[in-house]
Amino acid sequence: MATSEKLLSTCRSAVPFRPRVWNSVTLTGGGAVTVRAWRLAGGTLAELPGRASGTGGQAVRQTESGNAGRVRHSPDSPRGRDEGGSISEAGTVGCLAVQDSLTLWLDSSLTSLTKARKVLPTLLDVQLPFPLEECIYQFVEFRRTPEGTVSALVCAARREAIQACLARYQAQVYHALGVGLDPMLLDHEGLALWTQSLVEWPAVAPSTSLRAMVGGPAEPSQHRALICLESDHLTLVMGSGTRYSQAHSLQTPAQSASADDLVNRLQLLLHAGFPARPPAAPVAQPLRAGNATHPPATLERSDCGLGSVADGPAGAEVQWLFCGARAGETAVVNALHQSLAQSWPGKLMIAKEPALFLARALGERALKRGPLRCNMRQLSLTHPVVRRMVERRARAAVVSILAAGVALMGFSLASRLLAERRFNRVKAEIARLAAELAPGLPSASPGVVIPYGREVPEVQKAWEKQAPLTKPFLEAFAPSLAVRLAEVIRAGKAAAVRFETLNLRRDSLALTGLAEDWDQCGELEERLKALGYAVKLERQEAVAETEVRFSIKAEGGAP
Amino acid sequence: MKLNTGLILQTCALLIFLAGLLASISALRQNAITRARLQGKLETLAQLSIIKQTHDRHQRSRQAFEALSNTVPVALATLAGATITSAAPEIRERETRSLVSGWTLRQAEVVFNEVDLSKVSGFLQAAENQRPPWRLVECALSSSRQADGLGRAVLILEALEKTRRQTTDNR
Repeated sequence: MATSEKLLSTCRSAVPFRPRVWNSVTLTGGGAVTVRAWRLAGGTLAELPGRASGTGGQAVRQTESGNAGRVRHSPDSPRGRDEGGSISEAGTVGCLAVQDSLTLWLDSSLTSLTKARKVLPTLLDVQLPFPLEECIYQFVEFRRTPEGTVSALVCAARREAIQACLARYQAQVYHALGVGLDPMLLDHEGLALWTQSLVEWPAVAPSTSLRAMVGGPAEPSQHRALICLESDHLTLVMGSGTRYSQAHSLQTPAQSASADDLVNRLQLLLHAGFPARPPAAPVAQPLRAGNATHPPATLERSDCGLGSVADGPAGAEVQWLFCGARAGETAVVNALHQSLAQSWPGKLMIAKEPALFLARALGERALKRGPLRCNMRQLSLTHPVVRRMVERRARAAVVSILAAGVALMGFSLASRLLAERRFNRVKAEIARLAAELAPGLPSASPGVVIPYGREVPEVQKAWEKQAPLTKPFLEAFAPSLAVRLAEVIRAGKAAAVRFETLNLRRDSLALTGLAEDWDQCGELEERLKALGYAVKLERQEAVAETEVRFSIKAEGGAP
Repeated sequence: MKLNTGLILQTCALLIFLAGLLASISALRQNAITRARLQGKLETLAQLSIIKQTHDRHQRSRQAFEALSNTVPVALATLAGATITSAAPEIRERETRSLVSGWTLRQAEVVFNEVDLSKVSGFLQAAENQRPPWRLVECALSSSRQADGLGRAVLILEALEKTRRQTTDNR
């Protein structure tokens, strides 16, 4: 079931560049309908209905007057021209009619998208009634079925059909330039109608739609049938939610007596597109059930095994959308809707300015990226401008790669040079310092290098020899020992002791003396400690004398 | 055989890109090795810089002495006579060591017998205030048993001198 399928990928751009202005031209009957569309700041789209003339004095088919969508200017206003740019600068997009092509869902029965891409052309070849080599095709969308396999929507047409379509465009002449049309981009009518219907009547809420676009499971959505009523034919496009299903084209009967036949044929096709509610009669189809657009040869046949309309039960609810030149004929549209709604009830909606609907669709698709984009001008039929652009892009890619390669080489060379330069600078600095600190070392001589890792030991060795010769100069500025002597004497006076001998050096002190009290020695000890000495005090018990004899040995305490 | 220019260009571009890629990888690897070597050299440089700082301090100290107008220390006998009048010192020259740039380190022993010990500090202060100064290296004081405040002082002083040492000191 379509609603539980997961979108894997979709073709979002038909051409490898994005002109700002497109002239979309659709051919109907003997004339053409044009819409000029251009991109505005912020990605919005503006459209302007235009004109094209037929050749050989055929009557000019006028597009509907007034604005089309968001355009405020008349077709011939200079400002309108300015906003859209000149015709020569704009790209032209045309479309391949449904009766000249086919769209088809193919099941690959493979779970890998990569592998499926490889086998799908073969599957298409099997399905086609003509050799694949005579055909131009494009896979526009890939989905994963509920069974996990990959199915793909292919748009295909015979080369002759495309060439004939291009010839028809060539026969049309722009009234302004007087030259034939040569569409850069040849879109598919059915896909264009479908995506434009989703633009003008979104199928689901935006958040749900977005989820479906990024590959999440689509919400169950309503079936949708779009009928494009033209003067000579009718195009039926079917789908569910955002999923395109199939497209068919039927000749419009000239006499009203044949109208019932047309309805019958439409019902047959709708039965194939929208499966009837159970118990439904089994429907045999030549291609994938419910998903095929018949090849041109079979389009007009109503007896292609789809079953009888009268026997079928009432179908699911369907959104009925009408567009095309004859969609403005209310009686025709209502009659058709009432006939079809008996089996598939649903609301009727008619496009605004229905005659321009397809042309608008082509402009929208050419200007904006989106799902199901398609260009049938491929291989030898590619438009020269597109070919040039492709070649230019290829050249640009090559030049970019070339530049990247050169840049990488330059970067690697520069980084090496910089690293080496820094290393050499550090080495030179080491040599300079070594020469300054140890003038006798080999490094001081040019070309002589201290063994790696031996610089510091060698310099230290040399410095140890040299330092004693200069150290006395530094020591002359050290704090005086005389000051320390005065401090020690003051400490003795403060502790009320008498020194007998005092030996003072820079890092040691030796004292002997007498104290009247045992504790006075302790006080002296504390005072010496405060000066930074590690003090070792020895006191002797007074035996014959009344005073306490003491001796102190102290270390440290350098001033 | 017709050459496909586009294909040749693409191939060349690809080859140059690959060459650039390989060169970059090689440069990155080489740079990692260079960085490790550089780290070692920077550590060496840091250690040498520490030695250099000490060296510079020594040099600055020496320059301060070089800047003195008088490079011969005052005679200790004269100094003692001026500061301690009560006792004449015994002055003995100890070791003399040659330094750099003509400088020598002189060491002398000054012995005061039965001297008022409180006056020794005045002598030392006067000695240290000279330019170039005499510095106290070691001192040994011992009090006299005969009278309070008297005693024997043995002072070892040193000074820097830039002149040929005279064998007969006029102390």
